Amino acid sequence: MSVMESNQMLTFKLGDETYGIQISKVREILTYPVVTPIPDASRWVKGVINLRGEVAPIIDLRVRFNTNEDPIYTNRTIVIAVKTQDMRMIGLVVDEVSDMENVELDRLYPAPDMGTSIAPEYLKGLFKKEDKMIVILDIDRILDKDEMQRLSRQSSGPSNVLSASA
Amino acid sequence: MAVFDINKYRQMFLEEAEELFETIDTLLLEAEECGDMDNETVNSLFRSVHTLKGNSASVELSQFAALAHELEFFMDRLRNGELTFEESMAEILIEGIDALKQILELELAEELSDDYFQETKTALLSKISAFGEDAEEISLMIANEEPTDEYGLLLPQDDELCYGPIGGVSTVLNLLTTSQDDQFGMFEDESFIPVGGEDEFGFFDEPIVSQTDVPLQVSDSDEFGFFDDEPMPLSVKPELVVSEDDDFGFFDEMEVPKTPFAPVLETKVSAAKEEVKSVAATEPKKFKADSSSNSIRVDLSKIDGLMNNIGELVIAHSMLTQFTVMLEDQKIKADLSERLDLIDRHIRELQESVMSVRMVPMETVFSKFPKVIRDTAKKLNKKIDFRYSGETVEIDKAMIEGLTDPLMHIVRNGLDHGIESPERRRALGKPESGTLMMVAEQANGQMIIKLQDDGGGINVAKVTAKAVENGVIDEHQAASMSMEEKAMLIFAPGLSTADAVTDISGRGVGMDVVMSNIKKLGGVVKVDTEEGYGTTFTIALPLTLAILDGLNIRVGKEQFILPLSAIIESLNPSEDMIKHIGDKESEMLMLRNEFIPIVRLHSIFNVEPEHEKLSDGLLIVVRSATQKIAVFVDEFMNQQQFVIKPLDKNFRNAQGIGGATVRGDGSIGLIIDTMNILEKNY
Repeated sequence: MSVMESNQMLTFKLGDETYGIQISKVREILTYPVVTPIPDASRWVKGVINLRGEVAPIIDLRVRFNTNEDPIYTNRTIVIAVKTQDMRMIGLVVDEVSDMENVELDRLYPAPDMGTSIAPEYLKGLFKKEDKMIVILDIDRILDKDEMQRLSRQSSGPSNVLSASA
Repeated sequence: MAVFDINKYRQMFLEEAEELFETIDTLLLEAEECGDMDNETVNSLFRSVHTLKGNSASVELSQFAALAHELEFFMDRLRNGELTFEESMAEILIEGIDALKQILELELAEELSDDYFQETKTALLSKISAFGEDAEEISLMIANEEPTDEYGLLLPQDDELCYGPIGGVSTVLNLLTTSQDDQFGMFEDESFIPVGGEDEFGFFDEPIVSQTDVPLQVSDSDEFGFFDDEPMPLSVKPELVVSEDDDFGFFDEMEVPKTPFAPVLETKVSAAKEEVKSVAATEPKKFKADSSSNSIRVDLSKIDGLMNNIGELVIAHSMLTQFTVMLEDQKIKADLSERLDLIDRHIRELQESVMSVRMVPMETVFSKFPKVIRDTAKKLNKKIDFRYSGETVEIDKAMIEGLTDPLMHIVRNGLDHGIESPERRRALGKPESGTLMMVAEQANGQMIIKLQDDGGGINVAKVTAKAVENGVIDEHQAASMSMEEKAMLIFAPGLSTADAVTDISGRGVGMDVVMSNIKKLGGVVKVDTEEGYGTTFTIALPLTLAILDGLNIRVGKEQFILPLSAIIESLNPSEDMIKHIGDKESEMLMLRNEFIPIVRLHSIFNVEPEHEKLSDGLLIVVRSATQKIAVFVDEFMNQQQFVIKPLDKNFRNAQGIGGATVRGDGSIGLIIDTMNILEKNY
């Protein structure tokens, strides 16, 4: 892990656990806007929104990582807009945004192979802050274009994606 | 119309060459810096040099082309892996490119001596050969090198077209004006330098031109208005201007006192002549494409950015409009909406202005053809009369590249297979030269390009037989197809009716590529052919790629946008118009004499529809490549212009969706791709 990498983390909650992503990736935090659903998309792709003039997909991390099977969307639902390494703008739905944390990236604990509903390859590692644990996500890996295409092909065919727009 | 004027093409070539040189330089410098060259760079270099070579040959710059050929050959070997990249290669290549630039300048100025050319070429070849294992072979090549061109690229050298060092005239002009203050507007624009005696004020009428015996001295590519359409040698006899007193009648508007000037002028002019020559000799660096023209080159992405900003403005405006609706105070509401209307008008104007920046006249496309057609016809021993009209019709710059290739392919195909040989044409009672017409026009918000020849037409039976043979269609389909549909089979992949592949058609780009290229631009192609009388290709394109006229349609709670250009008609079907084949799944609309498959948008897009019964909703008949389909929707709403945004920039493409747009309320609307829907369903 490079020393230059930003160690400022934006932490948020999915279910009971706290997760973190590098603040340098975050562009904006917004409330759940009007989302236009995309036909034949995966369950966790809620659709697309207009984000600063760009057509950006909204991905519900809670559905993606099975922390909430039947989420509700209100105007208090939080979306974190991130920009990936390959300059794609993507909105992530989370339960709540918590705080900023300084995380020493060289003091991360490797994620165990089991015990999380998120596969270890999506994680940079685990960070222990006093008695709390912060799961540091590798957002570029999670939002990787090929990875997402692969998953969307696997995902169960036509689900009721379009009903989510209500 | 199609008068052949090499100067115009050279000008175009120069502009292009400048860009290509820039690209090549950047790539080479990068390669030199990092000491490595990946395949992509090599390929890109090869392509650029290849383009330079090809285009220069077509504007009759043979020596430049010959040298470019050497570099291309070297890069080809690099590309094929025959050679591996070494750091010093970048340096050699940069040197080679610089030599190329120099040759270009010299050749344009017609000052290139054969000796110098050979010297440059040999120097380059010997450096290149140091890298090959087959160095011997190359040095042999050098030894055998004739001073003439061997690459079949040479075109007749008999043209006397003057390419003086650019800036020549202005140098003269400067010198003159410095001495005579500003009173010599004579070299500007419409002014002429009289040649011959005092009576010959017809200026550059042809007979006079033939009298000019002084070889080119000064000319200026900036002065293109000057030899418009008629490539005439512009010769300057500066002495004459001043030595014959009567010539001053020419300047009488300027009220110049005659006599005192004459001697001054004479010396100045001859000094200027000297000057011009030395300028040409010492700094041939000045090749610049049309430096005086009143235009700038702007990256298309910057214009796209501007377009995006306007899009945002439109959205902000409609948000404000929606907000005023909620106001309670009627007075304020009325005042506000009046002002908002004003802003709306300005935004529209702004949008149109930016759109017009993207537009270039069709002439840019057309002007590429006369040369190609001339050469191709010559190769085929056919006589072609090429005409075009509508060159002022404007087209989105972004479409030009995508359009030129398919057009070129259709033209080549037409020349090769369509137009018959002169003998055959005579036998058929047709004029010996075939006619090829290219017409561009704007109609119904679309760009229509027609390519019409009076050749033999398409042998539909042969095409159909071939399609059956290749399994593109089966016999039943063949039997039920209309003539038009059969003719469209020429666009099917892997179908060639050419009995022999010539070097004109069969370049690896099939007619199917033509079709897919046109589709990529959002256009459609139609073929009308009559055996023995010729073929007409009609290409309909949207005017721009950035903005689309669309119809808002509603399915259940969702709204989608259907491109207006795809819509043929819409109707509310009655029960008896709906027919089924087999189960209830495959529905068809019987419309007049056609059976059109029905596509239920709600089942494709997986939406809860308002109506299940077809007779409760609406069917919109839309166009696709070869057939029509009827799209079932609940309702259609308003018609509107949409700024197209790609869906796959941040996400990925979705089936049946061609793009997205930002609606007035700031939400995203999805634009249906009718072609894509078909592919999903069938």
